[in-house]
Amino acid sequence: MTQGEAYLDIVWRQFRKNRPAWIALWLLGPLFLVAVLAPLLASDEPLVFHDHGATLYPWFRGLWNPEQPVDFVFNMALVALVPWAVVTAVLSVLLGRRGRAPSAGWSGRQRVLLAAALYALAILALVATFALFPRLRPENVYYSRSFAEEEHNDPGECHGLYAPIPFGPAERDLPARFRPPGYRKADPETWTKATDAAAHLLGTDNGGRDVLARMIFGTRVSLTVGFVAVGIYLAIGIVLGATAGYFGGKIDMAICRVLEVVMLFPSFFLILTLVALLGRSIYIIMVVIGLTGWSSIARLTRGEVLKQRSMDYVTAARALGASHGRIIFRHILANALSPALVAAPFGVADAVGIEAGLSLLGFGVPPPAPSWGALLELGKDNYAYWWLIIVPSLAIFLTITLFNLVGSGLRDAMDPRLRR
Amino acid sequence: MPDPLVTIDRLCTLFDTDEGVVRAVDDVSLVIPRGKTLGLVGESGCGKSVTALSILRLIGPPGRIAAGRIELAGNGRPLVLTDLAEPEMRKIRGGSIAMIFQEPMTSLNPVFTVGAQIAEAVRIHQGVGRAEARRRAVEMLRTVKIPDPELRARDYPHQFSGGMRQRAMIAMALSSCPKLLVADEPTTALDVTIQAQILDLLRQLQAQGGMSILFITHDLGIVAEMADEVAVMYAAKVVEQAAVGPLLSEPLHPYTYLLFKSRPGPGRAKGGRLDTIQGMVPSPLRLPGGCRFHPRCPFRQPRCEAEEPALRKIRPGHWARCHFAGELPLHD
Repeated sequence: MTQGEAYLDIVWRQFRKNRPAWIALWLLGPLFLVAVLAPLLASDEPLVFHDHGATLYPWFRGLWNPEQPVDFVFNMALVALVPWAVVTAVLSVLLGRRGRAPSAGWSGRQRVLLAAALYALAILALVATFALFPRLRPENVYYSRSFAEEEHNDPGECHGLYAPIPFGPAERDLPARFRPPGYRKADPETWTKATDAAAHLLGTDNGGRDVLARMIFGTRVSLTVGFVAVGIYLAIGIVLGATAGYFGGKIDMAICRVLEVVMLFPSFFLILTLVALLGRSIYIIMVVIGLTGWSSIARLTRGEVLKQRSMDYVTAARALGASHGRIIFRHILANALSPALVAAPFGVADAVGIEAGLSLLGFGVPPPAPSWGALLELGKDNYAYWWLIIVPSLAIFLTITLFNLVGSGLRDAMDPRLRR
Repeated sequence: MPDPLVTIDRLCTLFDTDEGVVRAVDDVSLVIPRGKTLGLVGESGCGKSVTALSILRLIGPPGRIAAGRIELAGNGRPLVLTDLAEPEMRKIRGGSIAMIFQEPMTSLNPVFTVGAQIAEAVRIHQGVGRAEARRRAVEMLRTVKIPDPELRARDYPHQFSGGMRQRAMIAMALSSCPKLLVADEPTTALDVTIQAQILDLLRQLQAQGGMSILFITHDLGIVAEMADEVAVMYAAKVVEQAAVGPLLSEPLHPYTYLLFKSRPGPGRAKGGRLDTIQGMVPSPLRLPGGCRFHPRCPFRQPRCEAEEPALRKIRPGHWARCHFAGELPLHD
């Protein structure tokens, strides 16, 4: 007997045959990892600090009390990463990996219960860790000291373990402004802290901040803007498009007219105007991209729903007593979602580009926050600061290209005519 | 007719089109007896399916039920389906009245497993949990004689043959033990052997559950096999109605008679051409005056063009819509 193959399995198999898209998806993995692991990669706080025999964990200060709210979300993901990885590893051993034959003896409900129990255990373990090691607790890790300076002043009694890049994304060093890649303070006479011996691998910016650290933390901003904006407009576009397509008539008429108005707006300039009026904020950028980007999603979904609406299975579901909501959002959308989903990676690429463009024009994320576009803006007036142009441009270019490749791979995988 | 389950009284279903109002069902009155099968026969476009969809109130814009009353007999007072609010009507659909369709190939949602779709029908009407619904879905698949129901419940519709899909549709329709099953040409898209199996299955399930069936078809052989009562529709109106025996042996309306004459069968000269009914089905926008069948009727008289006949009782339990019913030489 043939084993049933779900639509998504077919799409996934097709997607894997598309080399560039498959590689791009793999390269996006490290990008997300960099975003989540950013404080582990670059931090001015030592991970562990021995101070006259006592052990402190100053790095946690940055985790629980980040300067940017965006960072808090990613930091929580970082904290959850370890228990999540452990539980997932245990589950995959116990239940067999996806794709292989599931191990006998576990029914669907037992699997769910097992997974839930393990995740609960992991959360308990996390709580227990904080209970057993009070120094790890958020309220015990607020320090207003510069550990690197203490270590510099008292190297005999203090010793710290630092992240590979011992600079924070917002750590200023005004004497070292606009230094090229590889710059380090060569003269130990000028050192004021223990980490001054380390090199700025990608140079420094106008505040003497380490460009590599800012690039790493900038990943968080770019990905957040991309995903939240696309999330907003996918939600709006799918709901409005499906409603218009399913009910037709006056509702369709009304939604389509609104859609046309939104579509006719040059959205970049609308965003520019709104940001100028409302102020510079990452949230305003995300919401405005979200509120102006839904028209194409709505149009695609409407067309697809219109096609599905006249299918017999819709009448059959109606004849079974299914409500309109159930029919639209379960029966029809399951068949009509692919165009909207294909548009999503392209949308993320666009949003990343828009955020960078706004920052380049000085309308982007406000200054202390790290942003690729903002770095680019610093370099744009003076070619002597070439690293401020090349590094962020490359990052923006690569990110947009990767998302576009994944998008086109997804589009091809979902197109039955291109099946191989 | 004793003990009606569903009574359709002077139903008019209209479609508003750019060219004008199409009367798809015009003044149709039918009674579906409890536990019996009413066959509804007619050419394509005569209003059979629209009648069925009207019972379930599944006529969407541009169509509308303009007049008439449909009653469902219950334990106490009959439910007037034409007056029910939409949420109430939803409980009827798939609950007391279920429907199966002509195209089993497209009537199942391609992206969900067959088991999940039957389980969903169970969950909508019986408010049971996921696992219980799943169990009943497998049970229903067993009832409609799908081999290995536990395994096949996990299959997607494309892994089912046409006959199996129609069985799955029947399983879905019967999952809440409906009082009436509306079967809209359920075997038209299937080949003849499968057709016979499905008809057997339906008869068996009817005998077990005591449900009524409204059986829509254009195949008179199937009507002879399945129906207890038969109504023949032509151009949105019922032209003849009787128990199946009298209707087949002594038709009273020329249209019914000509339909019988135009089917192949034993006792027909080899190599000869099949008889046809001359002319075309009239456009629903330009129906002929008088008797709607008169342009195609070999027995037409001047009166037929001038005056529309009423549906008259010619014999006990036998109605016909013809001025000359009972007077015409309608036998070979």
